[in-house]
Amino acid sequence: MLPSVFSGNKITNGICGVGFEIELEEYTGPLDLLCRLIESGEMEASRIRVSDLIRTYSAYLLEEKGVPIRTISEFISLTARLLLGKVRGLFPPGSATAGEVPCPGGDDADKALRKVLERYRPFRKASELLAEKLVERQKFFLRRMDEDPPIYDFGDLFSLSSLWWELISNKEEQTQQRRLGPTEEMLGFESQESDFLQVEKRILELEKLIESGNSLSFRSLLVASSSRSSIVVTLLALLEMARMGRLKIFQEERFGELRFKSAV
Amino acid sequence: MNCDSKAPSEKADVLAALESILIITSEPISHETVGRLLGIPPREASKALLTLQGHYESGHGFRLVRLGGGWQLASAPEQSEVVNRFREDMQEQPLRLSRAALETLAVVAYKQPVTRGEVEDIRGVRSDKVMETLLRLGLVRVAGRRKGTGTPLLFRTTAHFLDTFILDSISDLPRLEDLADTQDFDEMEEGEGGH
Repeated sequence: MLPSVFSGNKITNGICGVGFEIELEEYTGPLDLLCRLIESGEMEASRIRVSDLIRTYSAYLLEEKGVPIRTISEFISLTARLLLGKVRGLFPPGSATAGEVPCPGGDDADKALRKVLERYRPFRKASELLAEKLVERQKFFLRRMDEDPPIYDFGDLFSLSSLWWELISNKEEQTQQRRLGPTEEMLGFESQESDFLQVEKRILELEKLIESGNSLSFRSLLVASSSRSSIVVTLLALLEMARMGRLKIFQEERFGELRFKSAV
Repeated sequence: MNCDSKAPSEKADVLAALESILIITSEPISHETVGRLLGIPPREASKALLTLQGHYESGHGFRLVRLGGGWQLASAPEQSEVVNRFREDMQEQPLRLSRAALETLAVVAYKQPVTRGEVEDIRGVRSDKVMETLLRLGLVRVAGRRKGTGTPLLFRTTAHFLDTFILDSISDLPRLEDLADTQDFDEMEEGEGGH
């Protein structure tokens, strides 16, 4: 991928300033660029100057801090092959000596590149076809569709994950609300009062319930409690009242229900 | 839905009923659905749709187009300029896709379900940003994960893709083999051989 040394006008102009990073609208990637060069007959290895190549690459290395070692090795390999090609070009054809070391992976690399390009080119053509279709499509307009709610399709992870995120978000919102304090629905014992004040308040309420000499069952108190914390507060209030001698706890029969009445 | 009792019998009635359905639908409607709604065989429905398509071919501001597995009314291509002005007034931007996006879409369309790595392998360039754009535009969607190392996400094209590129189905695209052309490579090799 060494476009800056080619004679293509757009490529040369586009590359000089930014090193090897190709971000041009004209080219979608190195393979596209390569195809374009092949098609336009602009790729002639013999015209590439190795000194230009190294100078440009050095500038690129200085500009880019983190070049992968693979990219560097590809560059060295390509430059070496280019040099070998030039040296061979100086000699008449068929003058290779018996002891000459063949270019490592030279033909194989060419074949591999050709294979890659052959695989890539149909998609490139298909993208051109899609571009034509898009232009054609933009000449007519359909009735605008309303935004549909996400539909879960089998294997549609995006929709599924969206639903999960929505559920998690709702759960987090509820948790956040609990952390921030009681809502209107949570008024009563679960107000921001201290535990002590809540127990005090419950003691007064229980005293009112048993002041007429009526007895109360433990079960009825539990049923009347709306949440776990109110049960705890009720239990603490009962124990406190018993400790202060203001409450009598009794059972009408063995293993019978616990009942409370005023001890005053 | 049984519509036999109220099914239009005459050809003119069928066409009128068909127009009524087409004018209110905001998505492609198949000939099978039309047949079921009008109480006529699918083949008859298909004929009626083709008749209407021919009828709107000229002298009308709209066309009956076939896309996304069905039929839908669309504005006439000749009126694109005025409709574009209208859309600009309504602050609607036409869809613009870069060549990289189109190329990525082509790979997804032909190779689906496909992982991003496979797309990058074919294109020879990173495609994460492009894929994000295509996902955002609703032209591709995540369609599960490939079993194996890393269980990468698989991508597919959407119904919106078919709509955007006037395709009835993915099979409307030319075969990949038909798009393959090695002529330039052969010429290049010949040129190099003679050098």
